[in-house]
Amino acid sequence: MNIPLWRFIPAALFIAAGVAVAAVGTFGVFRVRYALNRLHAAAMPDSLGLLLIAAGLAVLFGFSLSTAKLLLIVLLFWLASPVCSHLLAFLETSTNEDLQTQCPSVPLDKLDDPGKKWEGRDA
Amino acid sequence: MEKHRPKTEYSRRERFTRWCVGEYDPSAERLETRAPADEAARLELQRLQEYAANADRGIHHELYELGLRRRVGLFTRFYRVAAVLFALFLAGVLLLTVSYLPRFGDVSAPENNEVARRYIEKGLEETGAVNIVAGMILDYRAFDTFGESCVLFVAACCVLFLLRVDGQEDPRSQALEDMSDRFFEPRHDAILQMSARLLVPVITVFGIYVVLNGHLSPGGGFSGGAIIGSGLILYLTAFGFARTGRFMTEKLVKILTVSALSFYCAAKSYSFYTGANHLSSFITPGTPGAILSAGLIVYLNICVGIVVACTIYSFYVMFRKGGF
Repeated sequence: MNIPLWRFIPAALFIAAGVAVAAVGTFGVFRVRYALNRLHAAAMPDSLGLLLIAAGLAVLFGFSLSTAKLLLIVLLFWLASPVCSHLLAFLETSTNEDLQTQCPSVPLDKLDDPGKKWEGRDA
Repeated sequence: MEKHRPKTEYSRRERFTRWCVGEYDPSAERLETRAPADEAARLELQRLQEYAANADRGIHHELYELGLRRRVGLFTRFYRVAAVLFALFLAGVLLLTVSYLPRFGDVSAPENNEVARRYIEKGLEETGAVNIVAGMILDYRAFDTFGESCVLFVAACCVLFLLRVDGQEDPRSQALEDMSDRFFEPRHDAILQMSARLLVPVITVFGIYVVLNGHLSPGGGFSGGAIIGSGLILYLTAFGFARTGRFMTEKLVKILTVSALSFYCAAKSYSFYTGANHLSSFITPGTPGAILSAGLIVYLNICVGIVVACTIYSFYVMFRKGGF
């Protein structure tokens, strides 16, 4: 199979970038301690990494029916992965009792006063 | 009754004479040497009743335990002996079979040249399946695949035995369980429901495609069944048991699984019997590449897909709630 250089170089760049994103995400899952931060790290290979690798493959093999299948795979992952992240984050925030100490956050209705630091759930 | 007692009662002499006769006890109402008669009788009766009840229960319990232990002991002893005998028998049969096999790694052994070459060269012609793997696992080695499906069925039965929650529980714990299920599971999550509404039909159709196209392209009953089962699980997670309970009942799962396995067994028995005895069979490979070709493979794929989907779904249901 002969692949011209003008097609090979961008494809290789795309795939290398995708692998790098996936590697960073995998590294982050083990490096980061808290569940919600891990969720952020785990979502990267599913979204950007998958898109880059699919784009690289599409460039490498030309546009055909397989490209449409790749597009469908990317669509499926982009639809399913955020929902999974949403469910996991929802479970974490609804069951973790020490949420404010482990992950200090500001509720939406208190955002109008950015200078004042919001402390504790009952403040 | 008179307001004043007769005088004679107060005189010492009168009391003395009455004490001598036995009508009068001077310590009667002044010394509490023991409880009044009726109170003592009541306490004694209560103690006796308690004792009797306890003894009764104890004896019954002991007798029950004893009988159970004897029966269980008998069964355990029989079970051990039977298990050892069966294991010995099985080991003997297998060793006997192994002694007939060619040596491991033997170059002239049939499975190192003839079998593989025949599968590849004659597979399309004999089974009619474009996908050689489907031709192998569902035609040449269909018996092996039947065993795998039965293993799945047995695993589902074991999970049912271990995790099933009986319906005859008190309503309070039932309500508590429902509440915890609703608490930990995203039952009314709008985002999940919307995405499930989009994804479940696509996933199910894709699973059916993978099952039906098993003899033409990579895929087949196992992978397609797993896809359909995961689609069902997604539907259950998004919409709760009230929606899935309408069609995926325990009865339906039972009927589907058992009838799929029975059909597989019957169809393959017929095919093996006619094939081994060189009888004419109405199962033909057909034209390779057509959707209705490859003899029994399409139908066996459907059976395997049904079994796998039902097994995956019932595993999830059992682990989550302990019932359908």
